[in-house]
Amino acid sequence: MSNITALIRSTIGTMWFVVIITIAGELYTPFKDLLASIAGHHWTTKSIFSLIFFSLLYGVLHKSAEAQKVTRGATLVVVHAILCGLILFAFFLWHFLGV
Amino acid sequence: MHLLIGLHAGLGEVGALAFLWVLVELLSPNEARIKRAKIAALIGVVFLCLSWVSGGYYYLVHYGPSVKALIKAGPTPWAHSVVTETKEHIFLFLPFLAILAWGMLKHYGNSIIENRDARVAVVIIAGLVVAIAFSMAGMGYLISSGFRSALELKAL
Repeated sequence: MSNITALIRSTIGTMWFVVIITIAGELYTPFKDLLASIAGHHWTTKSIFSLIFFSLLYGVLHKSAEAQKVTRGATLVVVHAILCGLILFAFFLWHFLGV
Repeated sequence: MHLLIGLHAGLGEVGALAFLWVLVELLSPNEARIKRAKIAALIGVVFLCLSWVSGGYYYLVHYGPSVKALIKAGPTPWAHSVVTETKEHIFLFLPFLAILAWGMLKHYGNSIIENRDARVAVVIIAGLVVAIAFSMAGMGYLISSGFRSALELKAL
């Protein structure tokens, strides 16, 4: 039986993890090179790390108390997904424009 | 045209449609519909993961070494620098959102019939998976258009 609160928190945490390592890699080339050196390409490493991060976070949080209102958690997932997506888009647009 | 792009897009669209199926089953749930929704969600998780692997393989083996440079040198370099970069990273959200929707369905099971809160929550997450997956298709169209315009510039 899954712990839904832990799944929600792990999903939100993993989305932010992707955003943070992506922007960190773009801003600091040695970090991107390090990511690329681990699995051959920075995107492959991010994919593998996001799976590991999600699993670890769920492992740590799986005994969390279940929230009473799960719709609140689901809405939070939507808000964080939109925010993470917009931040990535805005960052790459800014990077491209060289503002 | 490349077979792997078709495979990646096709697998992704089946994954998206599977979560649309989940959403529809839960609009008026009963035991049979919940059973089908669980199967659909599992199909969605599997197909989105396969799309992840096939898209990643194409990106690393074909797109990166040849397509990327052409788009960047073409009339719409933003198709790579903004759209591809955004797409390849937002895509990483999808498998986890799909697992969340599937996990919710497994956790709540038939209690979804009475538990409106849980039902709405699964519908929200399934809807989010559908929206992001179809936005991937839209971004894929922009990237393909960027590649085509770069090729046209070279050919003319």
